[in-house]
Amino acid sequence: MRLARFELFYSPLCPTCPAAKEVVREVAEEEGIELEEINIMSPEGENRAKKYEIRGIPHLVINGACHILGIPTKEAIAGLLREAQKPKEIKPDRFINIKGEVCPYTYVKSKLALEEIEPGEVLEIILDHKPAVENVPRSMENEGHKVLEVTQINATDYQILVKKK
Amino acid sequence: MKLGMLLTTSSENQNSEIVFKLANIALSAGHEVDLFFMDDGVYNVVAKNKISPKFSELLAKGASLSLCGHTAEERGIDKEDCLEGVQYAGQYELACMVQETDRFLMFGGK
Amino acid sequence: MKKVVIIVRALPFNTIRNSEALRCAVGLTLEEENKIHVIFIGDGVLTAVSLDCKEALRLDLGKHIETLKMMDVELIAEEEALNARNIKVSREEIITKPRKAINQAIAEADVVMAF
Repeated sequence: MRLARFELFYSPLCPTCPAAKEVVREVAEEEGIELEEINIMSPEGENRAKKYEIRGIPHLVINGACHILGIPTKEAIAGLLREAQKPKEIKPDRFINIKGEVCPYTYVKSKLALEEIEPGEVLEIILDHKPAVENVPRSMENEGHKVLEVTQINATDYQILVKKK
Repeated sequence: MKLGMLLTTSSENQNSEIVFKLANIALSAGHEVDLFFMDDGVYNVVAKNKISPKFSELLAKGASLSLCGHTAEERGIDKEDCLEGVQYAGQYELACMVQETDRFLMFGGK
Repeated sequence: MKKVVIIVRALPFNTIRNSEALRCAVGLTLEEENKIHVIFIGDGVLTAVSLDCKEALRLDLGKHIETLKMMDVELIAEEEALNARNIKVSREEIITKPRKAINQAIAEADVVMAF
């Protein structure tokens, strides 16, 4: 589970911000979540608010991704916390389907596909050769690449996501 | 010295004895030994087979044993059927072995 | 850089040995520090000329040959063995060389794998 973080944007002149602060502080304390309260009237606060394109306050940002405008309820915060803590979907830059291939073609085709992408990009490999499900990731890691995920997607097929070094 | 050997025949072929003896002597002399089994050679490391205790002995002496998972799978041999300590690997591992060993010998045939 | 020679010397029929030799050669290319050569000698030259006989061989040797060529592996059939069997190589991926050159290639290899 990834750690959560609250950023609460407020203004000292805002009449509803104190109520928002009260709710958010309570949830942060109960859940052990790091809370940062940011005054949008400060230069730093203004810049950070611009980064999130914040138009109104109070404004709560959870894990840099989920937003609540206005005085939040505990239930709304809990719902967005669950949402924010889901792993981000990895979007591959290249995809190869090597179903039907066996060793060493599972390695060879994966290696050739990896050569065609840039460092840092992600290759998605779909295969159905069971020995390769462990062997290909192991060989990729041995070559210094990062295997992000190995998932069984149905009774016969597997997905490997690898990030090129 | 690191000695690598590839065995592609089953225990019906005298290659198994030769590989075992060579590996044993090399290990006793303080050398490193890497063995790779493919095709019928994978039968040598099936736990239930009569010859496998010899290869168990090599594992206990520090030899590294791996096999081609594809050829094992073709013969209905799963990881669980093999001696503990044998890596269920592939041709990539063989390629690395050929590169990394100082001497590499192959024992094959029909 | 290690020079690795794979020798294919058996008839290609009723055995997976030759297909395994070629499959092994493909696998060896995964280690870029290996420089691979595949040499067909003796009865093995029949493998070099019958690569597309899928029905007789029941195995797709052509795929291995195409991949090996793509990975810059040198594929050589021995001239004398071909002449003795009165056959010629028809695949463009495979070149022919005389026995003397082949013996030299084997002698210079760091690793020889005879299937």
